[in-house]
Amino acid sequence: MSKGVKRRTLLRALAASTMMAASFSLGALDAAAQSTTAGGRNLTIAVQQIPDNHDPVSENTNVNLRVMYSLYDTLVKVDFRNGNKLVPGLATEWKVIDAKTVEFKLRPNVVFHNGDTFDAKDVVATFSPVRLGLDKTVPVESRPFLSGIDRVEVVDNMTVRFQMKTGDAIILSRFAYYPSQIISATALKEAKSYQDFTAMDAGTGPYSLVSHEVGKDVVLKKFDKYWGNPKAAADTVTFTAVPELATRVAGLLSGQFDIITEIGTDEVAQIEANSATGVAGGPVANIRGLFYDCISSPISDPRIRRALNFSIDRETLVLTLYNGRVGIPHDWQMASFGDLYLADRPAAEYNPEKARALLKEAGYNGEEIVYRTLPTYYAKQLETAQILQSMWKAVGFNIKLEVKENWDQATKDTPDRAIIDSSFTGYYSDPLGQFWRRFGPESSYTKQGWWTISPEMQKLGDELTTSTDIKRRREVFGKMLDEFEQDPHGGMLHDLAQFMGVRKDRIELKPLPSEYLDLTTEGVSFK
Amino acid sequence: MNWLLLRSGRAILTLLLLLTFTFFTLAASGDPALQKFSPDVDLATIAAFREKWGLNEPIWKQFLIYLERLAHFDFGMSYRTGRPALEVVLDRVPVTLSLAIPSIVLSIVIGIPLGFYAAMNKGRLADRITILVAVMGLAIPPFLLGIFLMYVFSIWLGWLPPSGYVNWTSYIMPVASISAVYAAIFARFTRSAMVEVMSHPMIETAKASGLATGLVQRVHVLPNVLLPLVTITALEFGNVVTFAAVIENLFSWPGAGTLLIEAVAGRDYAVVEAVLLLTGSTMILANFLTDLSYGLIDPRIRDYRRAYRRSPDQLPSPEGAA
Repeated sequence: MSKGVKRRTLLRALAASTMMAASFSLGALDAAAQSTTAGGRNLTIAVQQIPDNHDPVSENTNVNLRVMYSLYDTLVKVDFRNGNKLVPGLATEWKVIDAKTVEFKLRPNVVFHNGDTFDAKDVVATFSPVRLGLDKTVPVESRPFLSGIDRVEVVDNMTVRFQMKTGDAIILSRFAYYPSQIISATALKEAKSYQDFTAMDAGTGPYSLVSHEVGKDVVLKKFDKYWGNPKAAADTVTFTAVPELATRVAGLLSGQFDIITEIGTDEVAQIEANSATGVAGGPVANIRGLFYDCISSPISDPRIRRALNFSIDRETLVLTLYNGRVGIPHDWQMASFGDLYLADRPAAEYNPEKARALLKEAGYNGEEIVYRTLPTYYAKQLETAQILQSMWKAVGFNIKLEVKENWDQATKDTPDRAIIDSSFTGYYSDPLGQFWRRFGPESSYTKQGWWTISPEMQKLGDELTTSTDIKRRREVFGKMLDEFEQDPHGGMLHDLAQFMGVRKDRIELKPLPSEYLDLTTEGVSFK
Repeated sequence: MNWLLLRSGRAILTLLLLLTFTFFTLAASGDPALQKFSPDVDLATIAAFREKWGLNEPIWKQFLIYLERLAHFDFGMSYRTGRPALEVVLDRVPVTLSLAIPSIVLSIVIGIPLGFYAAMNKGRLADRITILVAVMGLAIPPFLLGIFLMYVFSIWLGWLPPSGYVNWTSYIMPVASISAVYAAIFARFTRSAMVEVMSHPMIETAKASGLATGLVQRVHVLPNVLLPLVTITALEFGNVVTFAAVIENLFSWPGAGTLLIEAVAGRDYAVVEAVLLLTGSTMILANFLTDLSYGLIDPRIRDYRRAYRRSPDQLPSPEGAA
């Protein structure tokens, strides 16, 4: 074979392999191509990330909650549009026998996406030991919410009774909020492992799962046998992963997407300037705040921590970063607490003079205080940290800002650990789901030794947890907030908001004041 | 044979160093359990996760277990999905190839003729303009170019879809963003290689002997330029994954690049290692094939290798042969 032939052969082989690889790749992509095309009664939602699985107890993130609301139902539903009123869901009625016992009558003729009919065995499976975190080899996130359940008794095929370990002031709410989404017992039984179960569609919700490619997209379709009202608004919904915000915005403006999530206030003007697109959303049941390391750290003196809180000008913060689109809560509570909301409590005080006086009294001499932050876990996180650093510096603090890559680095227990960022989701319409969940004895931060709970506070917390007397609970909660103000384990900043971009020429979106995304006819209407 | 053994041994050592460095760096900078769950996760959940994935063992032991499994071609399991890591990675490779291959091909098709043209017009305005364009291609980061293209062709003109694969037009912006860099590299490299070869006395001799310019270029210049071009092509093909990670992320292509970003952020060790192992192997294989191709392209190297096999002790250096 001549030299020339060899060269030509080489080039031909290279060209052939290139074409083969390209056509193979195109084939792989073709199958998924349709999912990103908007049109008809199909919704394409660009999200920053899609969930890794569909098991409610396996992943507690806003990424998962967003999809979960379409796939699953709970025994009791929360009417988020009506003051968080608890209404029948998969249970038609209930009876709170005492603070430790509740009985549910189950809804007949409910069908799971896998064809099963709902009854008591599914409730038992939902609250089975493996899903309550009692199997030490299966990591689930349900313990902080459901560890109070002692047992589930099957009264008859359509009646179940829950027995709690101790009196629970929010016994009914436990079965209305995350992670009490009901799963199919058959799905759990048939899965080869719990890991396999997490990938299954085991719900009764208004949409069923069509496909899920980790890192790419989740496709849902309207579930025709859905028991409830309102029904699914769209025939299909595609949650497509678009990590870059600039790309999500470009996709919305160019018409590729119907909804985009997690937009910042910087993008609002650009989206609203286009006549076909708009912005929806606002505060969700969450408070953006800080955690303080109160033991053996430069801020172990409560006076220094009080000074930190007095130095924060929250109004300037929200005006600068959010153009006033988010509010400032009146202490560690939300209006959705209903009877437990102490409306007359003042907003956190900004008083630099008081802060300086406290620092002087505590003998603070400019010791370095480390504030660890992440760049983008929360909206405007780094900007918030830099503004806080300036506000603290203005009253005499010496704050060292450390930008970390992840939570492991941020929370690492070193002698200089002092301040980190945090958020305070209100899982129940009650302080037990927010303030006491994060600062009480079951908080992972308490358990990791960020602070100790005083006997007085513990006593008040116990009463708040077990009492069913609303008047007394209001009184107790007020005392707890007073106590906390004197010895704060954290700092409150502002309401946490979520904004979405919407193709308003195609749909109208009415978001819930929650991290759930409502894609029923109550939440979305096509134009 | 000795050459092949030496190359294989060096390749294995390179991969081992790559795996070791990556494994310990990832382990030192973040706990997978805390990346998987929300920041307020219960400690029992963390403990169960560590138990499930063997993360309670000392890190060196975890690494040895990983190596032992790897020796049996078991790449481990993804913490995130519970699926075999290799399967997770191979699912994403076609998407990356579908971007990388057209990008490289386009870069060669544009870059080499451009470099050739510049060299032929050395010192003239055409040369300076070409070099200026090439420098700009190199200087503008691909993600910035990608955002610029997105604003023009998606938002302003509304011609191209900015995200994922919708139809063939989805290729235009990501491929253009990657190709701009590579075309610039190929143009600059081709130009300098051409200029060097053209200053060689043999070219003067060929011209003096009355050969037509086209013939001189085809017979004497191009074959000599081919060798360094093949080298740079192989090297840059390996680098494409680096650019693909940025460009895939920007244009939401679910390829190996975005997987690498997700896996590093989630400390999904097995997946990170599998991606790097595949990338590293590709680069090593590309270099190996490049070495082999030298013999096909350049008869002097082929003759040298033959002579070396006959009597290894009595040879001039291959550079001398050239």
